[in-house]
This record gives sequence, C-alpha cells and structure tokens, in this order.
Amino acid sequence: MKMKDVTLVDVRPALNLVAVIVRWLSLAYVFPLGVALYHREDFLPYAVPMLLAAFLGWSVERFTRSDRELGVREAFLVVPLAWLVIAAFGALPYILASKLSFIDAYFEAMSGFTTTGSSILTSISTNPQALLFWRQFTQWLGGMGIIVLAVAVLPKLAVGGLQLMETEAAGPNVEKLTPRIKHTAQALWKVYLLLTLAQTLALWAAGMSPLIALEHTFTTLASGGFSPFDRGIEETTPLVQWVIIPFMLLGTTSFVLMYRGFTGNFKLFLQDQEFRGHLLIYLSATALMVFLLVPLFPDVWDTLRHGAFQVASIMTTTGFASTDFNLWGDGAKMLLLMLMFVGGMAGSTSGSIKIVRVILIFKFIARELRLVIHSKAVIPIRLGRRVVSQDALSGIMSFSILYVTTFAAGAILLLLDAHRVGLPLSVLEAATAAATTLANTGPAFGFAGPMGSFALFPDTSKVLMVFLMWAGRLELFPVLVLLMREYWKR
Amino acid sequence: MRVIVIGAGAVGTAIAEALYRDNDVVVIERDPSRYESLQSLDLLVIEGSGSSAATLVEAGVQKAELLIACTNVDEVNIVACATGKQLGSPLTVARVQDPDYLLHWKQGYLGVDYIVCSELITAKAIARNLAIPEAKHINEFAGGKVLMTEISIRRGSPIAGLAVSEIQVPIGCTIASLIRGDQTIIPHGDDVILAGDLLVNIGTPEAVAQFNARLSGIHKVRSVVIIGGGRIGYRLALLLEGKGFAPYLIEKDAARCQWLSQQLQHTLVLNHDAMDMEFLEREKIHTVEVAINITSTPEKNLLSALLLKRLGVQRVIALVEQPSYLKAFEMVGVDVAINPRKLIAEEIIRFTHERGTEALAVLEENRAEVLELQIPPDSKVIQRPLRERFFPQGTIVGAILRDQQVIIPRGQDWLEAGDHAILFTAENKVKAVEALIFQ
Repeated sequence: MKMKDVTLVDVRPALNLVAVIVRWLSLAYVFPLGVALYHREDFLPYAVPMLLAAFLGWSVERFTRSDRELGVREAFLVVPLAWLVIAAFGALPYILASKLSFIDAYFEAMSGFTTTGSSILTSISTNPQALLFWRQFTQWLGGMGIIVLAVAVLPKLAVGGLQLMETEAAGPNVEKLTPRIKHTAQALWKVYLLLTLAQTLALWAAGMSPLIALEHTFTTLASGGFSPFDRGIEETTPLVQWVIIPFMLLGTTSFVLMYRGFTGNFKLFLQDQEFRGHLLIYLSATALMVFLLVPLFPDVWDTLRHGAFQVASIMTTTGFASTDFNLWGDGAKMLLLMLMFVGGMAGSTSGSIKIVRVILIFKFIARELRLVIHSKAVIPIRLGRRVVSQDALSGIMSFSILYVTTFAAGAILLLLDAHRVGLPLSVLEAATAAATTLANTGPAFGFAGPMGSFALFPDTSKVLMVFLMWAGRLELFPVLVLLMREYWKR
Repeated sequence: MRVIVIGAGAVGTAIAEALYRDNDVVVIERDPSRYESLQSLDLLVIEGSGSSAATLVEAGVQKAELLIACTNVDEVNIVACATGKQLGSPLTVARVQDPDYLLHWKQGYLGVDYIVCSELITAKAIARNLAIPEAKHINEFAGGKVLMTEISIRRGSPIAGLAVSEIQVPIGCTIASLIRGDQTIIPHGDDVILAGDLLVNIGTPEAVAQFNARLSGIHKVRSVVIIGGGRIGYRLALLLEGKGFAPYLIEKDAARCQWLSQQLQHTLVLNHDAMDMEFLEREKIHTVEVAINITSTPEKNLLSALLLKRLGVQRVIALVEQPSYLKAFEMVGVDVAINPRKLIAEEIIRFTHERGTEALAVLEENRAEVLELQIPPDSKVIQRPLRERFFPQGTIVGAILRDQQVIIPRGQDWLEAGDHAILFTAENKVKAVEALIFQ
C-alpha cells in the first residue's frame, strides 16, 4: 500500500502510538542485559537494540506528533503494526549475539512474542545465556499482551484502550473488570505477576535453580513453550513436570475469571461454563491419551505423567515436550493434532480457536438438529445463563471457518514451497507445521518435531509461518482487515 | 369505611363493584371514558392522577382506611400508595405486574402494606390447577399448608349417589360443604352426594391431592402446552419450570418469542399460529395432557381450547377476562375457565375485612365465602367444643392451623388463642362470624 494512496486512514497518530510502545520496549532489554553482565557475556546485543529502540521510538514519536486523536479506523492499524515492529526489535539480539540471518531471527522473535515456541535453532544450549533469557522473556511479554501492558501503564491510551485490547485479546470479547479499562489491564497484569511469582517459587522448591525456574515460568504461563534446554522439558525431573501441568492450565484460564475467583468466591470457577468445558475436555483427552500410551511405557506413573503433560501442553498451545512425542503411535499423534484446534479459555494467554468457541459451535449444531424436529421453535444459544446474540454467533462461526481455511491454505502453500526447493515434506509435517504456527503452539511432527527444528524450511516458508503466527495471535480478523482495499480507500 | 380505589380499569372496576355497598368508595381515574360505567353506582369518581398528592387529598385520603392502587402502571401504584401513606394512614394495597416489585416488597422496601401481583396470581392459580386436575378452583390458606378445592361431581363419578358417611375421606381432609343449585349444604353423615353437586374439600395438600386423584383416576400431569406468551403465559411457564415441567409455549409474535426464549430455560418456545392444523399435527399436540389457552382474546382462547379438545388433548384450560363468560365457557366444553379479574379482586377484597382476616375466597358467585382468621387472645370462641354450635348457622370450621400443624376439627375439638382458623360460611354471615370472633 503506497502512502500517497492513503485517503481514509490517518497514519500519523497510529505510527505515533507504535513509536511510544517501541520507546517503552527499550526498557525490556534491561533484563537480558543484567543476565549478560551476571554471566560475564557480551552485553552489546542488548544494549544496542535498547538504545536503538529508545532513539527510534523517541524520534518517530516526535516526527509524527499531532493533535489528532487516534480514531477507530486507525486503531485497527495500531495493533498488527505494533506486533510486526516489536518482533523486528525482538529479532535484533539474535542477529547480534548468535549471528542469525534476519529471517531466522525474525521467525524466532515472532515465535517468541506470539508465544508460539517454534524454533529455527538447531542447538539451543550453545547460545549465550542472556540471549536464551531474552528468548524466554519475549514469550512472557507477548503472553499477556503487549497492548494490554501498554494500556495498563501508558496514560495516553485511556481513550481507545478497550478497542485496542479487543484487537489483541484472545477470544470473542474483552470483559471489563472495572469502569476504567486501564484498571482492568492492571488487574490482569497483577494476576499474571502473582502467578509468575507462585510458579517460580514452586519450580524452585521442586529443585530448579531460581533463574531457570523463572525462565520456565515465563513460557509456561504465557503458553509459549520455549526452553533454554536442548531437549526442553524432557531434561527436567518428573516432579518439575507435575508442577508445570497445573500452571499451563492456569495460564489458559480466563484472567478475568481468575481475578474474580481469587478475590471473591471460588464457586465462580465451577459456575463458569467455559471453565467446566476446559476441565472436561482436558480430563477426557488425558484419559484417552493415557489409554493410547499404555503400550509405550512400562511404568504406570510415566504413562500418566506423559499423557497428562502432553495433552495439557498441546491443548493449551504451550508446546512443551516431556518426551519426544514424534515417536508415539498414530492415534496419539492424531489426538494431539486435534487438540491443536482447541486451545484454552478466552481472555487467557492461549492461542487457537478457544474453548468458548468450540462449545458454541457444538451448541449451534445441536440447535440446527432441534430445529429440524421443531421447525417453528425459537431456541436461543446460552453460555451459562447468558444468551449469546445472533451477531456474536455468526462472528464465531465465520471466525472458525476462516481459521480452518487459513490452516488448510497454509498447509498447501508449505507443501508447494517444499516441492519448489525439493524439500521432502510429508502431508502430516506440512499440516502440523501450519496448525502449530497458526495456533501458536510450537512443535510440529516430523523434522520440525519437539526435539527438531524449523531451520530446514526454505526462507519463503518461514515468512509464511511468521504470517501465520502473527495472524493467529491476533485472531485473523484484525490482520485480514488491513488487507482489504476498502479499509484504505473508498 | 372510606376506601380509595385508584384506576378504573378491569380490576379497579371489579373491586369498586364488590365494595361500594358496604363502604364509602372513592375511585380516582384519569380517563373519563373508563369510569362512565361506574357513575351509575353509589360511589364518588374523581378525575385525576392517583399519584398526585392533591388528588389524594381531594379523595379524602386523611380519613381513608384503605387505599387500593390498581392502575396498569406499577410505578404509579407504588408512588400512590407511598404518598397516601404519608398523607394519612390507610392500609395500602398496590397491584403490580412486574414480580420484581413483589420481591423488593418482601425484602421490606417500597413502603406499601401489601403488594398484589395479578399476573402471578393468575399463573399460580393455573399451576395449582395442574397439580390437582379434578378441581374447578383451588384456594390456598395458611401460606399453602391448607388447600381448599371445589370439585364438580360428574355423572359416573365413583362417589355420586353415596352418603357422606360411606365415603372414606383420606385422613387430613374433610368435606366442608356441598353446593347444589342455589343451596349450600353443610353435610352430615347421611347426606347423599349427587351428580352435578359442587363438593368443597378442605385439608392438607397431600390429603386433598389424594382425594382428588381417587375421584378422577388422573395422576400427575406431565406434558403441558401453553398457548399465548403474554405476561401470564411467561409467568406460568416460569412456575411450571420450577415444578419440573418442560412445557411447550406457542406464541405468534416473533419478537416476543425471542424474548421468551431468552428468559425461559426449559420451555420450548414455538413461534406460530396455534390454530394451524398442520403445525399442530407436526408437533403432535394431541398427545399433550393439558393445554392452557391464555392469549389476550377470549374468543381465540375458546376456539383453540375447543379445537385442542377435539384433537384429543385430555384437559383444556382457558383464560376469560369477562366474568360473565365463565359459565358459557365451561358449558361448551372448556374444562376450566380462569378469570384473572375474579382472582385479583378476591385477593384485594380480602384486605377489606377485619385486620385478623388473612385470606378469603369466594365460592360460586358470592354464595359462600371462606375466611382465614387468626383467633385473638381474648376471643369469646376460645376453648369451647365446636359441637356447641356457637357460630351462626351454616358456618363450619374447616381446618385449624396450630403451631404449624394442620388439624381437621371434629365436634370435640376447640379453638385456641393464636390459632389460624379456616372457616366456611354463607356470604351474608361473614360480618356476624367476624364480629363473634373479634369482639
């Protein structure tokens, strides 16, 4: 889109806001910088981007300063643009510290911020400790949402805050906890911080060193899936894995619900239909998985642990691996692939379609069946006691269809691209690679499996998967709106 | 006493007509076209708004003992009662349609002495009728601990032709009276029950239900269809859902159906004309046990009730606004005709009796009344065996509620201070009975 064609979108205030966010992002480099100094590693890979973000953010902010307010149409631009720009800044340390190509670094950074967890690194532990810390930290920032953080801390965002948050948030809508959206964003971050503290302490108590515990906490609660270990969670003890399971599930529980539940009464959890669905799907999938895994493991506790862990990991779109599930049977793999399309609750750090939509899709089908019997019946669809409006339902249906279509298109394009360069890529590998990046899960099957790497894919495929991660994280519509001619021009 | 009635709609008119003979009635109404019919009666009509203090003063609210606000607007009724209470000290009764106000009132808000919810009363009457199918009318006393049912004895009834002593009435209930034509009979053991009689049965809900089930052979109703999703239809569906039913509700208006379906969790709302035969066949309506016809037009209620009866529905209930049509409806084949005006008027008229009188029901067009009274500590009737027959003739103590226990009294039983007594008496003896007890 050439700038001089732009007639309907006032780019200046949108750019201005993105610049403000970038300027604040410079603060994030303080943490890997500290780790670098602690480990006596080169600190320039973090100091340089820090100064660059501060300077570029500051100068663009000045350059685009105007007294025009951010409009509704411009707000659509802010969130997707901010995520693209932030991933670019997030890629700089990889280039500087580990000499990755720009595309590889951008893939890794996008995979980080979108909490996907797919990696192009072939060996992980050979990288500097500070870079690995940064890799974990980007997932934590992206998990709760950069915009949610911005709304929580920036005074400027108070006006369009709700709309911006809705663009970024996981699920159909944002539920406000307080009259002011800023306070809602702060409350959500408080829950996130408390959970982070709790899990870090729990992992520490389970025998991890404090820093490693923190690094795994970052990617657990964010449903990210990066690990600083070469073989990921497989290298940790069974106790640590048991501790991680509930925190993966908590990370994909609605933060609004947790805030209400922890500050008010616990009954709210069981009254929430989506929460019940979340538990029910998790427990029944785990039971099925354990049944499928019985021939694989001699020990009952191992079977239980791997079943419970892997189902939680894939369903919550985290992507940790307690063992190389690439080696499991077809039934178990099929179950994992299906779980990639479920995800956690709306309003959490989860990716994918999400429980609330899955529940509503099934209720929609049930209603269609009842209408065949009672053709004149008026049957509303309820979520708990609340009636879901027809508009919301059609939004959910079209999202789900778009989601599956995007997945299929992604898989086909990956196959075509592989064919172009002569890369042997099976249908399962292509399908899971598309599904895992779109759902922000992480590992695929085959060479890009939990112990493998996405490095083998050609650069064009990597760019496609960057797009899938980006569009998947923002739930497709905000990204696709920008591709509409009507958005820009009359 | 001076009674102020606000609103001369259907309910207000019925109340004014029932009260003007024994009381000084003042009716307040804004719309002249509505009070025309009242002007022939011996009462005063004032044109104005019942929620205005000036109008209330003009109506003599300072001297009034009872203020009944029964316009169609809930808020007007509540404000009128609250204002009246501050200007004078009448007992205030407000009619409301939104049951939320009933809830607020029960929690002690609103500053109104009594709230009467007409839709709820009608819906409850229909729901009670479902529980005891043979009964024409059912009245609740002592908060539902005592039921009184009127049963018409049909030809071929298992008890037609039997003497009262030959019928084994379940323990916990009694035959309080027989109404035969214009006659009200307080039955003795040798009185014979005839087909065509109206039998009045008083007792605990379980015993009454047992007695009714024996007469009808019908047991608990399961399938119900409600035709008409107005306010009463909605309330009724809600009540039935609470009793474990999953009723069908047929309503023509699409927007109303949307609303109903959102409010009602276990009711299947069908948006169609209830007189389309193809639709009725498709939904297999003829297999339903009870059809309740409560649209806003009585003619439609009658037609659809008769249609459904013809199709094979076991029992049809129809709502009729005009009290004069009640008999006609039942004569052509409607099993039970329900008149909301009669119900609401009964409910409100009970407040015109002495303060100790808590509930009242009118049987068969004012020929007999049922009173529920609390016996005051210094009453003359205390501790005198009932066989002494100190009450006016034709009066019978149907049930006594003592310490939450229901007693069906025999001749040797007596009344204690604090008892709630349910008395059955002829209409012209009400004042005498009240005088005897409260003096």
